Amino acid sequence: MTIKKIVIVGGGAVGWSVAALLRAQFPRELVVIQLIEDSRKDALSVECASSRIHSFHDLIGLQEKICMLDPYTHFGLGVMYEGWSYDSQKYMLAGGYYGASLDGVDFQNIYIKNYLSGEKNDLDDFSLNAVAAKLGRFGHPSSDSQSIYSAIKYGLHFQLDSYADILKSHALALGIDVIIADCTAVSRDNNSGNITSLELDSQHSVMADLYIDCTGEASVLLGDACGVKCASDDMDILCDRVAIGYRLQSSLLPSIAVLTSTADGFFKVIPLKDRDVIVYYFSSDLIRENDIETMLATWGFTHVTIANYRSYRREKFWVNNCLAIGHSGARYCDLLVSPLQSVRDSIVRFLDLFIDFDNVDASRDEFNRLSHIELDNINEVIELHMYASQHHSAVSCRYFSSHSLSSSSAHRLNLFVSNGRHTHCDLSLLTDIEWAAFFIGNKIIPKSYSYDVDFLDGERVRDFLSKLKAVIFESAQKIPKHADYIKSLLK
Amino acid sequence: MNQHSIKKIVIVGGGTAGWMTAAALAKKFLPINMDIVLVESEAIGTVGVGESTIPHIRGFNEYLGIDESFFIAETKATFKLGIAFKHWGQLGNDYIHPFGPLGHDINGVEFHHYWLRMQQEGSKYPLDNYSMAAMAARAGKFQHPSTDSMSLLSNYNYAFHFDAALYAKYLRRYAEAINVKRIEGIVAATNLNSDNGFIESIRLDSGITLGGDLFIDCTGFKGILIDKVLNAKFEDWSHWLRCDKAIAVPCALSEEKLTPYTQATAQQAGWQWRIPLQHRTGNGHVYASDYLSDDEAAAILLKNLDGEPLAEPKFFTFKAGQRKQNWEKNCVAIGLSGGFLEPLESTSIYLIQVGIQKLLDFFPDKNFAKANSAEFNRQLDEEYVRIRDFIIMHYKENAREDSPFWMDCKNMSVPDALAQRQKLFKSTGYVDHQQYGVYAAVCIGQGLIPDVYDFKINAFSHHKIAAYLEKIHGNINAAVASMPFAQDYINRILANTNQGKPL
Ligand SMILES: Cc1cc2nc3c(=O)[nH]c(=O)nc-3n(C[C@H](O)[C@H](O)[C@H](O)COP(=O)(O)OP(=O)(O)OC[C@H]3O[C@@H](n4cnc5c(N)ncnc54)[C@H](O)[C@@H]3O)c2cc1C
Repeated sequence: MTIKKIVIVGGGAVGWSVAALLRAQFPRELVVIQLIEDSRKDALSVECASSRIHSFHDLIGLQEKICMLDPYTHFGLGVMYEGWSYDSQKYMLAGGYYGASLDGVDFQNIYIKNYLSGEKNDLDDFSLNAVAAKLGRFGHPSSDSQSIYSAIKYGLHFQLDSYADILKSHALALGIDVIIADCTAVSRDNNSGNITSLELDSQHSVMADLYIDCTGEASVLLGDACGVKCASDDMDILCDRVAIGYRLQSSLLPSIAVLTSTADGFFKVIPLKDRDVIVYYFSSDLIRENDIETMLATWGFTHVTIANYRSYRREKFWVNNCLAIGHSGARYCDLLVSPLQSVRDSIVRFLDLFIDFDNVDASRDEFNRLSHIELDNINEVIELHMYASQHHSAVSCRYFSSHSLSSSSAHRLNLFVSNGRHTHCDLSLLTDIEWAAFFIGNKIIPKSYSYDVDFLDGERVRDFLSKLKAVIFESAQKIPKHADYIKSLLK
Repeated sequence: MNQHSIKKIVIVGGGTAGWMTAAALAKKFLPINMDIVLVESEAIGTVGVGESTIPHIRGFNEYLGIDESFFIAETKATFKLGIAFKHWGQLGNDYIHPFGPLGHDINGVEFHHYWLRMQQEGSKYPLDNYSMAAMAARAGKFQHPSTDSMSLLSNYNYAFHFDAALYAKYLRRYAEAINVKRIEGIVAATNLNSDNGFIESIRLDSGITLGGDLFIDCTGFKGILIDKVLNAKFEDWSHWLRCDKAIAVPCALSEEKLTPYTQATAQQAGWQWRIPLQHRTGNGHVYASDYLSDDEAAAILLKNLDGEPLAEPKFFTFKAGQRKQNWEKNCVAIGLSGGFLEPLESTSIYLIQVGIQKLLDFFPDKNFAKANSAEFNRQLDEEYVRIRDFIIMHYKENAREDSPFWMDCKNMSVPDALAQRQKLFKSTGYVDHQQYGVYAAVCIGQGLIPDVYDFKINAFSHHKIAAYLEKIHGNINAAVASMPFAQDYINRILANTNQGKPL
């Protein structure tokens, strides 16, 4: 058995995530893994990671405590959506369950019947996550599935440079070799198309069996060297700039990120331990950069940087012996679906499909196929959010003057509107109840509900809902205050 | 109930599909007194086959609240641990598609990779050796799986062989007891609304007209209702699945002990089933009439019975494929009226169940939203295609050169997604767990051996893996030895069952 070698080009949270996972999963006696850390900066600055991050951290063996000791990392209980389809709109997409079923009848349908009968309850009130977050509470979920506190689902908010450092020390401890250098040239074999070596500015050259491109938008290996083109602009949200800034906070903010749609774009404000960070996507022909800066300044955000933004995806993400992870393969607006989650999913997918260094053709095809499905799903989430805001946001309105709702999004919408039902797809991003929360939050209410709700007595249902709401509220009040919890956790 | 709720359901057909649907709907709508009518014709009769199932059937019985021992007594059922495929892939091959896993994964690498490495390094043990279900099946053993998930004796699943006519009869009693109204008669006409093409009513030969909100077509191959609303749109899959005929004949039980599995033996232009019940053995020969005459097919079948034939052979003609939409307007096709896939993996009754489950998931109101039936159709089609591809794979992956039928199957081109999946398995041993069945067991059984195993297991020595495999096999052997014979187990259940117990 000859020892194989993998070279990862590009550090940052992406490169170090790849490095940590591969080093944790590939036996050291069989594979050498090197990471070439270049001087490029990450395009992203914060991540609002959903609860799916935990299984990745388990795979790489990274303890949450290490992340929480970082001066920025914050717990996240959900995202509040504001002003998408109307000005005063506020609703949450919280992780975890909503409500509870009654006699086997699904909660969503109970809620909808009640809503249609005129009792317009706030769906958030049935999510322990949402209620706790609004009360500024936080606690870890209970492992006892009988306890109401097992319903909590939380994610983590990171300052990305800092998170990259955490991943880096972890990967180094796992045994990753690191070379600090920029890649200056890539040699390829003309016949096979395989990359044969990389030239570094340190005068070294490195050779590997597999090259992983984590160089971000520059796409040094996949795009530049292998010539894989961007396939389509279907992820285009018609924003061409992104502004990022932060404001320091003297006390701990609630664990809620806020995502707002405006006339000229969208922005998200993500709380970290000592600050909150704003990421604002806008269209430069609707609002000038200066005006954005002034606006952010009036909101208290400083250190504002503005960069160009475009969405794209390449035709393939893995060709020959070159695999792209992250922006080197695709970029989409990071407001709704965390690009780093998609990075984590990609590496896990790679790991799952990668069986042997010398037999990769079929794995590669499957990897590319699945990656496109995943991006289609991301697209659907983005598209439906823009759809909801089309009468409210100039950008969304413009989008729908040149695009129509894709058939899969239209089907999802119609299915929900007609009977409150959901379609399922491979690699689905949102659960049924999350889709329901999205639609209902945008006042897209089904005309009808599932028949089995009619098996329940109306009086009983009303009673059930009001009790449920009360129990959730009381339970949320018993959760520790977020600041106290963090303090005791880090002691 | 509201003004848009469906209030009357008409089911046409009283075969396995019709009575399963009637029983499940009646159970579901018990709280609201739904008006459910089932029309069937004794003169037409049912297809009368369909006796081997997969484990999902148990969920169906559970949903209805049917006691298992009672069910076994009523339908003369026996236990099934898998399907034994003989001469598939190659003459002389013999493998089991088990109801249960192969070995177990370690370090995130699936078991068959360890097995593959041992094969490459000279081992000759068949994959079956590492499956509880397969080993118990071969030994003629059965007991209910243990509920202790740490025990090897929990590591398999089971289904039944049963008498289809008795099952339908039983479900009829069940459904009639909870208010399904049965009407004897032949549907002579289907009346459509002239504006929207919805079914308004059906007229029976007796002159009775039956109206309804929702019509369920369980009329078997005829599909008389769905045919009307859909205008006969059928997707033909017979270029992949060439068998278009079957002969079935029951025979007396063999002297040997009961075998807790379905036997599927490949013949020169098709295959033969053997399904042991308590009182007889069901046999049938599924074949391609382009390659084999009816007389030849009958001769092959009769030559390969374990005992005296108990009836005249019965012939069936079919075509593999599916109606374009199994739900169109206010008509839903469930059972053979919706499509046909040969019984190689015993999946037809399962597809009936999927149809019923999805009908309940997407149960309409009188608005009959297009998106709703579209989603039902999409999900059902997905299930049909998943099983279709799995069955095609049994034909495609073969190295037999003894008959034109098998050579043509080997050389056929298959659906793209299947081709890609097979290529992936062949080159890497990768299994997509969304796929039907114990995929690796069947691929490898058919002779599709992956070129490589997962490189990560090279971190272990040959010796270590060999010892690991031997330990699994030894443990399975010991567990199987502790199990009773399936025959004795059934006898014990029957002795303790109070037959004729009320529902
Ligand atoms: C050879 C063969 C072997 C099989 N083996 C298996 C197996 O091992 N496992 C498995 O799961 N499945 C198997 N199947 C499939 C299984 O038999 C069927 O899925 C199952 O029996 C359901 O049939 P059905 O109820 O749809 O149709 P049928 O049994 O044909 O019932 C049709 C019903 O409609 C009625 N009807 C028809 N026309 C009219 C009319 N005009 N008016 C009134 N009533 C009418 C009939 O009287 C009858 O009651 C097999 C099928 C075949 C052909």
